[in-house]
Amino acid sequence: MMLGFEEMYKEHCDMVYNLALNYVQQVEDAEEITQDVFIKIYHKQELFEQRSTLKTWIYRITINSSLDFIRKKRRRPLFQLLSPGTNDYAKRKETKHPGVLLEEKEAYDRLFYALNLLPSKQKTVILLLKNEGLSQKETSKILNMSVKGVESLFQRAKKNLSKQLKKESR
Amino acid sequence: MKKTSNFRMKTDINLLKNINKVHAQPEMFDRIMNKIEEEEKNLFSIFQVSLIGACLCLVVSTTIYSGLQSEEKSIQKNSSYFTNQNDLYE
Repeated sequence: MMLGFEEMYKEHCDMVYNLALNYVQQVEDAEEITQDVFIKIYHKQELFEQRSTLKTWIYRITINSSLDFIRKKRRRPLFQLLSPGTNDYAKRKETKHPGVLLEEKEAYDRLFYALNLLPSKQKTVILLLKNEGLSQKETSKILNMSVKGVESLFQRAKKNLSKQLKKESR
Repeated sequence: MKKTSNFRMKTDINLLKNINKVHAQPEMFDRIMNKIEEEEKNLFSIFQVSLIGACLCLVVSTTIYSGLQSEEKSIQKNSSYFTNQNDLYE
């Protein structure tokens, strides 16, 4: 059982870590989420039903953990008082994403700022389709939606992102 | 003007494709295992504390119950004594 878990970790840790990084754009937070995801996997691996693939299941846990983490951070008023603007991702204008080149940082700061203002489902669909490079079918399985639902959600997300980017460039 | 902003939008959203993949730190696995061990220890100590608590509750409630029962018996004894006394008067 332990070996199975270690193998599972080795195979999926980068995927989990990178997706978490795209949600929070900070190394420390992404590491915390990754730890949380694998602890959940460790405890729930026996409950994993073969109805979905392992990858789909891990994606779901990562998405939920990332969104929970962001929600919890928003609920910490004391920390917000101590360091305003760093805990609420929607208010932070600068990101510390290690996968972004320094010369492109400004463009990514703008993009992530707009992305963080979107509703969580819209942000998720953009990350899965555009960053993870998943197909609409794969995304629909992860989000438990129809392919058409994913398509319309993505269109809405793109529209909202465009609005946010326009607002910001003004 | 509209064309320009659309083009800009496309470039922006497609930037997500170009983000470099980052490797998770190799020591993260040990940290996860340590955290799991710690959690299991905590869970065990919580279980121990709640078991001791439950035992204490059981002892206390048994003592109270037996105390109440003996008190009830003595009241019953006393009341029967008084009834007998009344009988005498009658």
